[in-house]
Formats: sequence, C-alpha cells, structure tokens
Amino acid sequence: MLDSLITTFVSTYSIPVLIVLPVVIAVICFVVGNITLSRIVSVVSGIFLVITCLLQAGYVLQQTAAIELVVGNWQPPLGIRLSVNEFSAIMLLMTSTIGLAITFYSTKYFNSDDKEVRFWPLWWFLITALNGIFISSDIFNTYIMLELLGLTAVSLIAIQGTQQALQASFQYLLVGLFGSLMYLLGVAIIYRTYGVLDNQLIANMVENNLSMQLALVLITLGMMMKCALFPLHFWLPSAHSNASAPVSAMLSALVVKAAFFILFTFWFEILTAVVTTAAVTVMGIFGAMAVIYGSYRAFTSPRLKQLIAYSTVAQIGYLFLAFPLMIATPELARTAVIYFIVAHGCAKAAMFLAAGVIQKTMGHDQLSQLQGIATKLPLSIFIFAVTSASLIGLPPSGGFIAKWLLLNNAVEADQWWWVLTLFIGGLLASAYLFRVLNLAFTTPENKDGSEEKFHTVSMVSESKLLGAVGLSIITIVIGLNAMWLTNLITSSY
Amino acid sequence: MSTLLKSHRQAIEKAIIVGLVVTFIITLLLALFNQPVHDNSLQALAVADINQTGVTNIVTAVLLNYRAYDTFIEFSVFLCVAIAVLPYILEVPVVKFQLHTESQVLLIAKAFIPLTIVMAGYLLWIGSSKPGGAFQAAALLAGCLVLLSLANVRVIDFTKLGYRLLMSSGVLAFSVAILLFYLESQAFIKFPVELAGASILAIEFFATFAIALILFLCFESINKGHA
Repeated sequence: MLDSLITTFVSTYSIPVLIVLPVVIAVICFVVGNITLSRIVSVVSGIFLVITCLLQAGYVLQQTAAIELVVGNWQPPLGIRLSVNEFSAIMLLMTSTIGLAITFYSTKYFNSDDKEVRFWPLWWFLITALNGIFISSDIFNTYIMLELLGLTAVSLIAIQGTQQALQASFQYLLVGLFGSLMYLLGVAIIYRTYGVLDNQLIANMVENNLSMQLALVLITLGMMMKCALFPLHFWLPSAHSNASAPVSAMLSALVVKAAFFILFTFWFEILTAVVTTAAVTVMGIFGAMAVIYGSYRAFTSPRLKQLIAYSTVAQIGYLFLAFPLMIATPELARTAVIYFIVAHGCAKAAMFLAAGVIQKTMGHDQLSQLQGIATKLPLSIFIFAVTSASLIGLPPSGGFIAKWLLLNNAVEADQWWWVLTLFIGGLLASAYLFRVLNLAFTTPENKDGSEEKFHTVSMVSESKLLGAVGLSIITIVIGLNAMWLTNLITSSY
Repeated sequence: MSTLLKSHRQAIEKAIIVGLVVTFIITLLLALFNQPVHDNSLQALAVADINQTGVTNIVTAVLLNYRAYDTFIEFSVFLCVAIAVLPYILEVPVVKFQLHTESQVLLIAKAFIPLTIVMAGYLLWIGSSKPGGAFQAAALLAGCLVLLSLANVRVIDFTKLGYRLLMSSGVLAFSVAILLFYLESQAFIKFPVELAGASILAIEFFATFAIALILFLCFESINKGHA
C-alpha cells in the first residue's frame, strides 16, 4: 500500500514538485514580506524537498531506470522532456540537503531585515534554477534555467550591499552573461544544424563536423567561465568571498557544480561524437593547472573566506581530471565525479558556514588575527577541521574516497601522471588548511588591550551551525559507507 | 623584453582580441557554410497540432503551450529581477512629490495614456491569432507609467503589498493554472483543449500587469531609487 503510494508519488508528482514548490514559496516569501513567516515556510518546505529527493533517488537507484516526464504531453521535438537519471537524482538530493542546512543557518544569520526579506525569495528561485538544470533534458530549457541561476546568484551577492560585494556581483553578472551567451550561440548552431533541442534526439543525430566542434567549443568556454575552471576563474574568489556566508556556501557547493553538470552532459551524453582524446586531455591539463594554481593562491590568501574560495578553484580542477579518464574507463570516472561532487559540496558548504560564524564573531576574517579562536568558537573550528580532512582527502572522509576513486581510475586507465596532481593537490590543501587550524589553536600573545577585546566577542551562539554539523557528519558517513554508495551508483548504469 | 611588453600592453591586448574575434568569425562562417540547415520539420509539427493549443498564432502556441515550461521560468526570471532592483521593500524614505499642474509632459501623458491602454488591451487580445501578446502589451503599459513618472505623478508605492502581489501575479496565475490542471489530468503543464484558449488569455492578462510593473520598476530604480 505504502509502496505503491510512494511509487505513484515519485513517478508522477516528484518532478513537478521540484520546480513548482520552490517557485510558489519564492512568491509567497516575496509577497508577504514577513521574515518570521518566510523562515517557517522555508524550513518546512526545505524538509519536504529533502524527503521528495530522497524518495526519488531511492527509486531511481533501485529501479536503475530514469524517471521521465514530458511537459504538457507534447513529445519532443515539439515539447520539453524532463528526466531524472542516477547522476541528476544524486545532484538533486545533494541540492536539497545542502539547501536545508543553509536554510536553517540563514534563519539565524541575517541582522538586517531588509537583507533577509530579499534573501528568501531569491534563495528559493536559486533552488528552482538548480533543480531545473538537473532535471532538464532540453538544451534550450537549460539556457533559461542558467539565466535564472545567474541572475539570482548575482542578486544574492549584491544584497550584501558592501562596495566589494557590489563590484564582485557586477563582475559576476558580466561573466555570467558572457558565459550564457556563448552557450546560447552553441545551442543556436546545434538547432540550425539538426532542428531539435532534446538531448536524446541530438545525441542520436550528431556527427563529427565543424559546426558541432564549434558548438562544443562555445558551450565549453561558456560553462568553463561559469564553473570557474582555470584560466577563467578570475571572478570566483571575489564573488564567493564577498557574499554573505549562506550565499557563499551555496555558490561554492552547488552553483558551480550546475555549470559542471551541464558541461559533463554535453561532453559525454549529447555531443559525444565530437569528443576526441586530445580534447579531453586539454581539459585534464586545465584541471591539473587549476588544482595547483588554486591551492597556491589559497595558501597565500590573507583572508579566510578568500582562502576557501581559492580552494574551490582548486577542487573544481579535480573534477576535470576525470575528463581524460572518461574515454578509457567511463563508468569508474563517472562514479568518481559524482562522488567528488557530493563530497566537495557537503564539505565546502559546511566550511563556508563555519567561516561565516567566525567572520561574524570577530568582525573580520583576516587570517593573521584569528589566533586562538578555537577556545571561543569550538564548534566552528571543529566543523572546519572535519571538512578540512575531507578537502585534503584524509580517511575516513568522503574526500578520501573521492580521491582514491580518481587515483584508482587513473591507474586503471594507464594514465598514471594524473596521480601526481592528486598528490601535489592533497599536500598543498593540507598546507593551506592547517595554516588556518594552526592559527586557531595558537594562544594569542598578551598585548595590552587585546585580552579585553577578545572577551567582548566571546558570547556568540553557534546553534545555527546545526545544519553544518549535519553536513560534516555526511562527509564522514559517505566516507565510511563508500562501498555501498559506489555500488549503488555503478549498478545503475 | 618585459619593458617592451609593458609599454605596448594595450596594443598587444588589442591585437590578441582582434585575432581571437577574427578567428572566431572565420570558423563560424566556415561552419555555417559547410553544414546545411535543418529541414524545418518541427514547424510542420507545430502547425499540425495547432488546433489543440487553443490559439491560432503559432508563436503564442509555442510560447504558452508547446514550451510553456520555458515561459513559466521566464516569468520567474522577471520577478527575480524585480526583487533585486526593488529599492525599498519594508519602508519607504520620505520623498516629496510635487504635482506640477499642467506641465507639458503631463499634457502629453493625459492625451496619450488612455489611447495607449486601449492599444495594450488590443495587443493582448490579438496575441492569440496574430503577432502580439503579454510582452508587447506590457511594454506599452510600462511606457504609460514612465510617462506619468516623468510628469512627477506618483502612481505606485512599491512598498505596498498589493503591488508586490501584482508584480508576482504572472507567476502566480501560471502556478495556479498548472496546479489545477495537474490535479485534474495528472499531466504537467497540460491545458485541456477546450479551456486552453481561456487559460492562456488569463495567464497573459496577469502577466501583462506583472511585466509592465517590473519594467517600470527598473526605470524607477535608476530614476528615483537612489534619491
């Protein structure tokens, strides 16, 4: 009885819920303009979305079949097809889970009503856009979702209101628009050639010719900009470090991953006929350079949030290391990519949330003045340490398994040289993250007045970090239950 | 070498950009000339099913029936812009508006606004069979509001809940239609044939006001938002 109910819910209702619910909540939050109500509605529907995605992911991974929905019963090429396969099911589950953690955090984060009243509707539109990208199976619909994603992300950075935030968001707006237009031009070329927009239909028709090569190059450049792959990462550190903590967490954990998801789909599902070994190797090299450059810049950053933002640049690089492996061992590489996205998403979101508490308590995030905060903010530093372990790749965290999968994969595909990047990246990550932890546990020197100043900031509630604790537990749990998760992912191909 | 690079930095940058653009254009032209255009079978498909969409204009059929999902998200994009540029949500700073009686702009406004509103209504109505529709009608209405604003007549107080409701009415009407038809037929964004025309007109009606307000808001936020 319950089983059949769940099956009906998942197969007919779960996909529309992912879009319609966030939009309706966004409109409610905007129209009512009442913060208390927005908070309650957001937390409740956040929980509901997590349950929906959980059921959906369970269904997709168990049935090993994608859920499909044709909008308006207009079959493609006329209409739009939405589908949830194992990759998108896991992305959706991750979006809703991290979203819930950040939602909970945001109910206690803002100290200005005007900021918060804008935050909630934009927040729900951002979740709409992310869900929309993960379920879309139509290249033009993906463009619309990208537009919504870009505009909400820019607005969310801008509501911070500081000079740097406004500058960063304007730069992000221009970069985002440029990336979207490149993508749109690529879509236009594909449509001109084949006259269809559905992923599956294009994949069946596509041939290796100059038009498709150009389309892939344009789409790749556009998405590289949006997911900040070295050397097009220049906008990310200022955008992610100047936004408010919940927004930074969402941008680093999910928004860049959405662009990566699109890129990955185009390379290995839609325009597969065009992809050559040379092309994937180039992407791999960009990835390797991103790992090293991002880690180096993280190491030299003077500010905590900037350090974390550069760490995102580095971690995005790892995802592209899987590109050259996709040709030789596609299943292993896909599993590694999915695993890495989840591990990094949870860890990075939790880390940004902890950094937000540190910044709020201290009034700044200058690394040189963060000595001894471990005694004042034990929970924040605990979260920072756990998530650091995952980002470095220490067992038993999810990050360790993700890197181990990549490593195993590189050896299996006879491309051992990528392993070097993994090692160097891991070492550099431990260098820049221990730099923070080391400072946090150092007792500050007693200078005149410094002691007193320290006491004034001691009374801070860390209760809003509950969600972040949940996320750091997830990073450990997915490390401990690695076999179960990888089997689920691999068996569903 | 490095001094040479520094002193000619701008020239070098320009050269690189020109080089990239030229390469891109040549590749694009080559690609386009090498590949035939698709056979346009999609248009035939769209025309074949048009009597089930509730409208006779093919553009409206694509926008609000075949690919209504895209339009739904497009309305959300509009609303999201409105939230971002809305200068004040909770309370409005005290700004004095004086009505200059019989300023020339006001004269023009008085003469044109009634006419423009009628035109907007016509454009909205004709959208089902000929070029027209919510976006065009909204542009006209927004023009009226801009004219009034230039004449220093304050018509809209964006801090009022009612106007926020009106701004989201496009998305809201669309959501209601989606939910009602979904519960009835279990199909996502499927208008029943006999109700399709009416529902599309209703959605477009609300969307017209929403888009007009949002366009006007964008104008106001530049014009007076930072005063």
